[in-house]
Amino acid sequence: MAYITSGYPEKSFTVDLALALGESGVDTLELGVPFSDPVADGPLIEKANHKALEFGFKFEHLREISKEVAPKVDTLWMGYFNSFYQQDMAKLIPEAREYGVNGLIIPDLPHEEALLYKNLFESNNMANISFVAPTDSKQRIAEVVKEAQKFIYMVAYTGITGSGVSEDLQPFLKDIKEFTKTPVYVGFGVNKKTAKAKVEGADGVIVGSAFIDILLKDELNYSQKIKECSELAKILKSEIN
Amino acid sequence: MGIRSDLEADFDFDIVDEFLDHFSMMVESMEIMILDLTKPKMYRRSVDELFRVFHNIKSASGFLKIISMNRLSKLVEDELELLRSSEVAINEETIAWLLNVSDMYSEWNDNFKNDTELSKVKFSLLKIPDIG
Repeated sequence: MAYITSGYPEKSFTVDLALALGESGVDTLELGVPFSDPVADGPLIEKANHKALEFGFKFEHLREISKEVAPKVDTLWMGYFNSFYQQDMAKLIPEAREYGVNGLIIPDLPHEEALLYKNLFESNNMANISFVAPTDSKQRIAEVVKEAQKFIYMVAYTGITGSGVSEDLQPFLKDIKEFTKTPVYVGFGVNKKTAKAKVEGADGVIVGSAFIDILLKDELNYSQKIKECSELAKILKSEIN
Repeated sequence: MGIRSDLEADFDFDIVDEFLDHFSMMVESMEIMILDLTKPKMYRRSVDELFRVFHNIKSASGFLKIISMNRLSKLVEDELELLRSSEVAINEETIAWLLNVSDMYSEWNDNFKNDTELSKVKFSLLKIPDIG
Protein backbone atom coordinates (compact mmCIF):
# COMPACT_ATOMS: atom_id res chain seq x y z
CA MET A 1 0.00 0.00 0.00
CA ALA A 2 1.39 3.40 -0.97
CA TYR A 3 0.83 6.89 0.40
CA ILE A 4 1.20 9.93 -1.84
CA THR A 5 0.43 13.56 -1.09
CA SER A 6 -2.39 14.76 -3.32
CA GLY A 7 -1.63 17.81 -5.40
CA TYR A 8 2.12 17.67 -4.92
CA PRO A 9 3.52 19.06 -7.05
CA GLU A 10 0.23 19.30 -8.98
CA LYS A 11 -3.08 17.59 -9.55
CA SER A 12 -2.41 16.01 -12.96
CA PHE A 13 0.93 14.63 -11.73
CA THR A 14 -0.82 12.94 -8.80
CA VAL A 15 -3.20 11.22 -11.22
CA ASP A 16 -0.35 9.99 -13.44
CA LEU A 17 1.67 8.82 -10.44
CA ALA A 18 -1.28 7.06 -8.81
CA LEU A 19 -2.13 5.14 -11.97
CA ALA A 20 1.52 4.23 -12.53
CA LEU A 21 1.77 2.91 -8.96
CA GLY A 22 -1.35 0.82 -9.51
CA GLU A 23 0.25 -0.69 -12.61
CA SER A 24 3.46 -1.35 -10.64
CA GLY A 25 1.81 -3.60 -8.09
CA VAL A 26 0.51 -1.22 -5.43
CA ASP A 27 -2.66 -2.88 -4.15
CA THR A 28 -4.10 0.11 -2.34
CA LEU A 29 -3.41 3.78 -2.60
CA GLU A 30 -3.60 6.33 0.20
CA LEU A 31 -4.34 9.73 -1.28
CA GLY A 32 -3.07 12.14 1.35
CA VAL A 33 -4.96 15.37 1.95
CA PRO A 34 -2.37 18.13 2.48
CA PHE A 35 -2.64 19.68 5.92
CA SER A 36 -0.73 22.46 7.62
CA ASP A 37 0.04 20.51 10.80
CA PRO A 38 0.29 16.81 9.94
CA VAL A 39 1.18 15.70 13.48
CA ALA A 40 1.32 11.98 12.79
CA ASP A 41 3.68 12.33 9.84
CA GLY A 42 7.42 12.67 9.61
CA PRO A 43 9.38 15.61 8.20
CA LEU A 44 9.34 14.45 4.55
CA ILE A 45 5.58 14.07 4.35
CA GLU A 46 5.15 17.30 6.30
CA LYS A 47 7.32 19.08 3.72
CA ALA A 48 5.29 17.65 0.82
CA ASN A 49 2.07 18.70 2.61
CA HIS A 50 3.31 22.25 3.02
CA LYS A 51 4.51 22.46 -0.57
CA ALA A 52 1.18 21.15 -1.90
CA LEU A 53 -0.63 23.83 0.11
CA GLU A 54 1.82 26.48 -1.15
CA PHE A 55 1.12 25.32 -4.70
CA GLY A 56 -2.58 25.94 -4.14
CA PHE A 57 -4.05 22.56 -3.22
CA LYS A 58 -7.81 22.69 -2.71
CA PHE A 59 -10.07 19.89 -1.49
CA GLU A 60 -11.74 20.08 -4.88
CA HIS A 61 -8.48 18.79 -6.38
CA LEU A 62 -8.77 15.64 -4.28
CA ARG A 63 -12.24 15.07 -5.70
CA GLU A 64 -10.96 15.48 -9.27
CA ILE A 65 -7.97 13.19 -8.67
CA SER A 66 -10.18 10.56 -7.04
CA LYS A 67 -12.67 10.54 -9.92
CA GLU A 68 -9.86 9.45 -12.22
CA VAL A 69 -7.91 7.18 -9.89
CA ALA A 70 -10.41 5.41 -7.62
CA PRO A 71 -12.23 3.47 -10.38
CA LYS A 72 -8.88 1.93 -11.38
CA VAL A 73 -6.93 1.51 -8.11
CA ASP A 74 -8.30 0.64 -4.65
CA THR A 75 -8.21 4.10 -3.08
CA LEU A 76 -8.48 5.51 0.43
CA TRP A 77 -8.30 9.10 1.55
CA MET A 78 -5.80 9.81 4.31
CA GLY A 79 -6.09 13.09 6.15
CA TYR A 80 -6.54 14.92 9.39
CA PHE A 81 -10.03 15.14 10.76
CA ASN A 82 -10.43 18.88 10.39
CA SER A 83 -9.98 18.60 6.60
CA PHE A 84 -12.89 16.17 6.34
CA TYR A 85 -15.04 17.75 9.03
CA GLN A 86 -14.99 21.08 7.22
CA GLN A 87 -16.47 19.37 4.16
CA ASP A 88 -19.37 17.98 6.24
CA MET A 89 -18.91 14.28 6.86
CA ALA A 90 -22.57 13.49 6.12
CA LYS A 91 -22.14 14.79 2.57
CA LEU A 92 -18.52 13.83 2.06
CA ILE A 93 -18.72 10.11 2.80
CA PRO A 94 -21.42 9.28 0.20
CA GLU A 95 -19.69 11.61 -2.25
CA ALA A 96 -16.36 9.82 -1.80
CA ARG A 97 -18.12 6.51 -2.30
CA GLU A 98 -19.56 7.78 -5.59
CA TYR A 99 -16.01 8.42 -6.85
CA GLY A 100 -15.10 4.86 -5.89
CA VAL A 101 -13.12 5.70 -2.75
CA ASN A 102 -13.27 2.77 -0.36
CA GLY A 103 -12.46 4.36 2.96
CA LEU A 104 -10.83 7.03 5.08
CA ILE A 105 -7.70 6.97 7.21
CA ILE A 106 -7.83 9.65 9.89
CA PRO A 107 -4.90 9.35 12.31
CA ASP A 108 -6.07 12.11 14.66
CA LEU A 109 -9.61 10.82 15.07
CA PRO A 110 -9.70 8.83 18.31
CA HIS A 111 -11.49 5.51 18.22
CA GLU A 112 -14.23 6.71 20.57
CA GLU A 113 -15.02 9.71 18.36
CA ALA A 114 -14.83 7.61 15.21
CA LEU A 115 -17.69 5.52 16.60
CA LEU A 116 -19.96 8.55 16.17
CA TYR A 117 -19.57 8.11 12.41
CA LYS A 118 -19.84 4.32 12.40
CA ASN A 119 -23.32 4.23 10.88
CA LEU A 120 -22.40 6.81 8.27
CA PHE A 121 -19.42 4.76 7.11
CA GLU A 122 -21.28 1.46 7.21
CA SER A 123 -24.35 2.70 5.37
CA ASN A 124 -22.09 3.91 2.55
CA ASN A 125 -19.99 0.76 2.49
CA MET A 126 -16.91 2.79 3.40
CA ALA A 127 -14.17 1.74 5.80
CA ASN A 128 -12.87 3.93 8.58
CA ILE A 129 -9.44 2.49 9.22
CA SER A 130 -8.54 1.65 12.82
CA PHE A 131 -5.12 2.41 14.28
CA VAL A 132 -3.20 0.53 16.93
CA ALA A 133 0.20 1.47 18.36
CA PRO A 134 2.77 -0.47 20.42
CA THR A 135 1.97 1.83 23.35
CA ASP A 136 -1.62 0.53 23.43
CA SER A 137 -2.62 -1.95 26.11
CA LYS A 138 -4.12 -5.31 25.17
CA GLN A 139 -7.45 -4.08 26.49
CA ARG A 140 -7.25 -1.05 24.23
CA ILE A 141 -6.26 -3.16 21.22
CA ALA A 142 -9.23 -5.48 21.82
CA GLU A 143 -11.58 -2.51 21.95
CA VAL A 144 -10.22 -0.85 18.80
CA VAL A 145 -9.96 -3.89 16.54
CA LYS A 146 -13.47 -5.04 17.42
CA GLU A 147 -14.80 -2.41 15.01
CA ALA A 148 -12.02 -2.67 12.42
CA GLN A 149 -12.90 -2.65 8.74
CA LYS A 150 -10.81 -3.48 5.65
CA PHE A 151 -7.49 -3.57 7.55
CA ILE A 152 -5.85 -2.41 10.77
CA TYR A 153 -3.17 0.23 10.54
CA MET A 154 -0.43 -0.88 12.88
CA VAL A 155 1.91 1.95 13.80
CA ALA A 156 5.45 0.71 14.28
CA TYR A 157 8.30 2.29 16.19
CA THR A 158 10.87 3.83 13.90
CA GLY A 159 14.47 4.85 14.27
CA ILE A 160 15.17 2.92 17.43
CA THR A 161 18.05 0.83 16.17
CA GLY A 162 20.60 0.61 18.92
CA SER A 163 18.24 1.55 21.73
CA GLY A 164 16.99 -0.87 24.34
CA VAL A 165 13.50 -1.04 22.85
CA SER A 166 12.91 -4.11 20.75
CA GLU A 167 12.03 -3.51 17.12
CA ASP A 168 10.51 -6.96 17.11
CA LEU A 169 6.88 -6.38 16.24
CA GLN A 170 5.89 -10.01 16.71
CA PRO A 171 4.53 -9.79 20.29
CA PHE A 172 2.49 -6.74 19.31
CA LEU A 173 1.18 -8.46 16.17
CA LYS A 174 0.29 -11.50 18.22
CA ASP A 175 -1.73 -9.33 20.60
CA ILE A 176 -3.65 -7.81 17.70
CA LYS A 177 -4.32 -11.11 15.96
CA GLU A 178 -5.61 -12.60 19.19
CA PHE A 179 -8.65 -10.36 18.84
CA THR A 180 -9.29 -10.08 15.11
CA LYS A 181 -9.06 -11.75 11.75
CA THR A 182 -8.97 -8.38 9.97
CA PRO A 183 -5.69 -8.00 8.04
CA VAL A 184 -2.96 -6.00 9.77
CA TYR A 185 -0.80 -3.59 7.76
CA VAL A 186 2.37 -2.16 9.23
CA GLY A 187 3.09 1.51 8.69
CA PHE A 188 5.85 3.95 9.71
CA GLY A 189 9.45 3.47 8.73
CA VAL A 190 8.86 1.00 5.90
CA ASN A 191 11.31 1.26 3.02
CA LYS A 192 13.38 -0.97 0.73
CA LYS A 193 15.64 -2.02 3.60
CA THR A 194 12.97 -2.62 6.25
CA ALA A 195 9.99 -3.93 4.24
CA LYS A 196 10.86 -7.61 4.52
CA ALA A 197 11.39 -7.49 8.28
CA LYS A 198 8.38 -5.30 8.99
CA VAL A 199 5.94 -7.43 7.01
CA GLU A 200 6.84 -10.59 8.90
CA GLY A 201 3.67 -11.82 10.57
CA ALA A 202 1.66 -8.94 9.13
CA ASP A 203 -0.57 -8.91 6.06
CA GLY A 204 0.90 -5.89 4.33
CA VAL A 205 2.98 -2.76 4.63
CA ILE A 206 2.19 0.91 4.14
CA VAL A 207 4.92 2.96 2.49
CA GLY A 208 4.82 6.74 2.50
CA SER A 209 8.06 8.61 3.14
CA ALA A 210 10.07 6.43 0.75
CA PHE A 211 7.85 7.60 -2.15
CA ILE A 212 7.70 11.19 -0.94
CA ASP A 213 11.50 11.24 -0.71
CA ILE A 214 11.58 10.65 -4.48
CA LEU A 215 8.90 13.25 -5.16
CA LEU A 216 10.86 15.89 -3.26
CA LYS A 217 13.96 15.45 -5.42
CA ASP A 218 14.13 18.71 -7.37
CA GLU A 219 16.72 17.31 -9.79
CA LEU A 220 14.20 14.82 -11.22
CA ASN A 221 11.59 15.76 -13.79
CA TYR A 222 8.01 14.44 -13.58
CA SER A 223 8.53 11.35 -15.70
CA GLN A 224 11.73 10.44 -13.80
CA LYS A 225 9.88 10.75 -10.49
CA ILE A 226 7.10 8.49 -11.73
CA LYS A 227 9.64 5.99 -13.05
CA GLU A 228 11.58 5.89 -9.75
CA CYS A 229 8.40 5.54 -7.69
CA SER A 230 7.19 2.72 -9.94
CA GLU A 231 10.51 0.93 -9.61
CA LEU A 232 10.40 1.31 -5.83
CA ALA A 233 6.86 -0.12 -5.77
CA LYS A 234 8.03 -3.16 -7.74
CA ILE A 235 11.04 -3.71 -5.45
CA LEU A 236 8.89 -3.43 -2.34
CA LYS A 237 6.36 -5.84 -3.78
CA SER A 238 9.05 -8.42 -4.49
CA GLU A 239 10.58 -7.88 -1.00
CA ILE A 240 7.36 -8.55 0.86
CA ASN A 241 6.13 -11.46 -1.28
CA MET B 1 -15.25 9.31 35.32
CA GLY B 2 -11.73 9.69 34.09
CA ILE B 3 -8.26 8.36 34.69
CA ARG B 4 -7.99 9.62 38.29
CA SER B 5 -11.27 7.95 39.25
CA ASP B 6 -10.13 4.74 37.55
CA LEU B 7 -6.90 4.75 39.56
CA GLU B 8 -8.67 5.52 42.81
CA ALA B 9 -11.04 2.62 42.17
CA ASP B 10 -8.16 0.18 41.73
CA PHE B 11 -5.51 1.44 44.17
CA ASP B 12 -5.20 2.89 47.63
CA PHE B 13 -6.10 6.59 47.65
CA ASP B 14 -2.79 7.60 49.32
CA ILE B 15 -0.75 5.82 46.67
CA VAL B 16 -2.63 7.52 43.85
CA ASP B 17 -2.41 10.90 45.56
CA GLU B 18 1.35 10.57 46.05
CA PHE B 19 1.84 9.51 42.45
CA LEU B 20 -0.19 12.44 41.14
CA ASP B 21 1.76 14.93 43.28
CA HIS B 22 5.11 13.58 42.13
CA PHE B 23 3.98 13.24 38.54
CA SER B 24 2.87 16.84 38.44
CA MET B 25 6.20 18.05 39.84
CA MET B 26 8.20 15.95 37.39
CA VAL B 27 6.15 17.12 34.41
CA GLU B 28 6.48 20.76 35.42
CA SER B 29 10.27 20.47 35.52
CA MET B 30 10.65 18.50 32.27
CA GLU B 31 10.67 21.33 29.78
CA ILE B 32 13.32 23.33 31.62
CA MET B 33 15.56 20.26 31.86
CA ILE B 34 15.12 19.57 28.14
CA LEU B 35 16.02 23.15 27.25
CA ASP B 36 19.05 22.87 29.54
CA LEU B 37 20.30 20.06 27.30
CA THR B 38 21.29 22.76 24.82
CA LYS B 39 23.64 24.35 27.39
CA PRO B 40 26.98 22.53 27.46
CA LYS B 41 27.56 23.21 31.17
CA MET B 42 24.13 21.89 32.10
CA TYR B 43 24.02 18.97 29.68
CA ARG B 44 25.37 16.13 31.80
CA ARG B 45 23.30 16.99 34.86
CA SER B 46 20.12 17.52 32.81
CA VAL B 47 20.40 14.27 30.86
CA ASP B 48 20.91 12.35 34.12
CA GLU B 49 17.99 14.15 35.78
CA LEU B 50 15.72 13.51 32.81
CA PHE B 51 16.71 9.86 32.79
CA ARG B 52 15.74 9.60 36.46
CA VAL B 53 12.43 11.36 35.83
CA PHE B 54 11.41 8.98 33.05
CA HIS B 55 12.71 5.99 34.97
CA ASN B 56 10.54 6.99 37.94
CA ILE B 57 7.47 7.58 35.78
CA LYS B 58 8.06 4.26 34.04
CA SER B 59 8.18 2.40 37.33
CA ALA B 60 5.19 4.16 38.88
CA SER B 61 3.02 3.91 35.76
CA GLY B 62 3.93 0.23 35.49
CA PHE B 63 2.81 -0.36 39.07
CA LEU B 64 -0.43 1.57 38.45
CA LYS B 65 -0.94 -0.26 35.14
CA ILE B 66 -1.08 2.89 33.04
CA ILE B 67 0.18 0.96 30.04
CA SER B 68 0.58 3.65 27.38
CA MET B 69 2.47 5.92 29.78
CA ASN B 70 4.64 3.03 30.93
CA ARG B 71 5.57 2.10 27.35
CA LEU B 72 6.30 5.63 26.23
CA SER B 73 8.37 6.23 29.38
CA LYS B 74 10.39 3.09 28.61
CA LEU B 75 11.01 4.38 25.10
CA VAL B 76 12.16 7.79 26.35
CA GLU B 77 14.27 6.22 29.09
CA ASP B 78 16.05 4.09 26.47
CA GLU B 79 16.71 7.12 24.28
CA LEU B 80 18.08 9.05 27.26
CA GLU B 81 20.28 6.10 28.17
CA LEU B 82 21.73 6.27 24.66
CA LEU B 83 22.33 9.99 25.08
CA ARG B 84 24.06 9.41 28.42
CA SER B 85 26.50 6.97 26.86
CA SER B 86 27.07 8.98 23.70
CA GLU B 87 29.90 11.42 23.17
CA VAL B 88 28.02 13.16 20.36
CA ALA B 89 26.33 16.47 21.15
CA ILE B 90 22.54 16.33 21.22
CA ASN B 91 20.91 17.46 17.96
CA GLU B 92 17.93 19.74 17.37
CA GLU B 93 15.74 16.89 16.21
CA THR B 94 16.17 15.07 19.52
CA ILE B 95 15.47 18.25 21.50
CA ALA B 96 12.29 18.81 19.44
CA TRP B 97 11.21 15.21 20.01
CA LEU B 98 11.81 15.49 23.76
CA LEU B 99 9.79 18.72 23.89
CA ASN B 100 6.93 16.95 22.09
CA VAL B 101 7.26 14.12 24.61
CA SER B 102 7.07 16.70 27.40
CA ASP B 103 3.85 18.09 25.86
CA MET B 104 2.35 14.60 25.93
CA TYR B 105 3.10 14.25 29.65
CA SER B 106 1.66 17.74 30.29
CA GLU B 107 -1.50 16.63 28.52
CA TRP B 108 -1.61 13.55 30.75
CA ASN B 109 -1.10 15.76 33.78
CA ASP B 110 -4.17 17.75 32.70
CA ASN B 111 -6.06 14.47 32.26
CA PHE B 112 -5.28 13.61 35.88
CA LYS B 113 -6.17 17.08 37.17
CA ASN B 114 -9.45 17.23 35.26
CA ASP B 115 -10.21 13.54 35.71
CA THR B 116 -10.70 13.01 31.99
CA GLU B 117 -9.80 10.04 29.80
CA LEU B 118 -6.07 9.54 29.32
CA SER B 119 -5.10 10.98 25.92
CA LYS B 120 -3.69 8.58 23.38
CA VAL B 121 0.04 8.65 22.63
CA LYS B 122 0.66 10.79 19.57
CA PHE B 123 1.96 8.60 16.76
CA SER B 124 4.68 11.09 15.90
CA LEU B 125 6.34 10.31 19.25
CA LEU B 126 6.97 6.76 18.06
CA LYS B 127 9.34 8.14 15.42
CA ILE B 128 12.47 8.17 17.48
CA PRO B 129 15.14 10.61 16.27
CA ASP B 130 18.63 9.48 15.46
CA ILE B 131 20.75 10.87 18.26
CA GLY B 132 23.85 11.16 16.06
